[in-house]
Amino acid sequence: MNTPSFDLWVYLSKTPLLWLTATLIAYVIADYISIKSNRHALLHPVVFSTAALCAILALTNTPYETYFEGAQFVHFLLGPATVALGIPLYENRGILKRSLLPISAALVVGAIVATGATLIIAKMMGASKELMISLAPKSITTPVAMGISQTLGGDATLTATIVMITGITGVMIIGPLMSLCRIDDQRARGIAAGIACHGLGTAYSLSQSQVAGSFSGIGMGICSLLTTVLVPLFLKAMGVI
Amino acid sequence: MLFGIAVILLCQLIGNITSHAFQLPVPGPVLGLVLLLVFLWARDNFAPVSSSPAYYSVEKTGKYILANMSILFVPASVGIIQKLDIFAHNGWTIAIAIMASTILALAASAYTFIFVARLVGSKESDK
Repeated sequence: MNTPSFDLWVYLSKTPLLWLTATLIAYVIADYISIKSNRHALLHPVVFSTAALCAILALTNTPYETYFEGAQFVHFLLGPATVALGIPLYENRGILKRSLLPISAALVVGAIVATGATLIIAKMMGASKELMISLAPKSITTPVAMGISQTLGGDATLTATIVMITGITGVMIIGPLMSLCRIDDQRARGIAAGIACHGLGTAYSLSQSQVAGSFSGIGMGICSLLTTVLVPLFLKAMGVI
Repeated sequence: MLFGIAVILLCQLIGNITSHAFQLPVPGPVLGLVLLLVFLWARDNFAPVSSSPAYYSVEKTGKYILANMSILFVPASVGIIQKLDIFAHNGWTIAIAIMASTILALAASAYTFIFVARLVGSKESDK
């Protein structure tokens, strides 16, 4: 029963080191594949590493809680990363000030479309009340989205997962979509990514250019505030709450 | 590097405390972002330009974190594994709602931006 390799497994699964290392290695490999494929949209490193880690957790029968004990050290840095978004914002304050009107217009239209389209499509497909509430704040940053979902009677952890899927979907389609729409203005690409796919969109935009990154940061921050107001309005108008 | 991370963490800490104490709908790190803007502005306007390596250490540290921002979403994404039963039942609804609304929101935001930018003559480069 207690073979040496099993003992080793028991020992390792008790320390955060195992899953922290696994997360980093999975990402490094996924990033390498992504670079080799010339950053192909479908081989996004977050998608690939998430899929690989899910498969490993399933195969080893490891609960998510155990995984997260190690991975939390990576997760924790999301907060400081959000604060650090102030740096590209500050450095690009000139171009941001010059674009104040188009930024405001894009934010209002984008936030309404992101929430409205989600709810209308979900309703047409016969989603339950709880699922609609959980889906509604899907394009904004996780802590705010979970707060909205919880307050209105949704499933906050489901919302967190939906937010991640939205972000991943967004960064996979944004490149091809923007090329298809012939939009090369870095400001427009950035703000759209921030509005439709929160921090993942911002991470993607930063990899494209500092201008896109700073517009994305603004889009993500203000869109989450607008959505906090919009979601209850939409849900009431549709008779869900 | 150490000075930079200390400033960033301090901004987040003050942001988190403020958000929690006043029950604000804004998460602490977003308030921290605003505080960091104030810090950078104050430094450039009131502190004499210093040759000390600490002066630009906020930029150095912050840009290093931002350059690797994507990996920070992996632990939360793996959380999908907990919700597989819900996706087995409502997978198509969730997938189609997310896919279609994300395409619409991306296109609507980008086109609105470009339309209004042309209207008011706002250009990407400083002419």
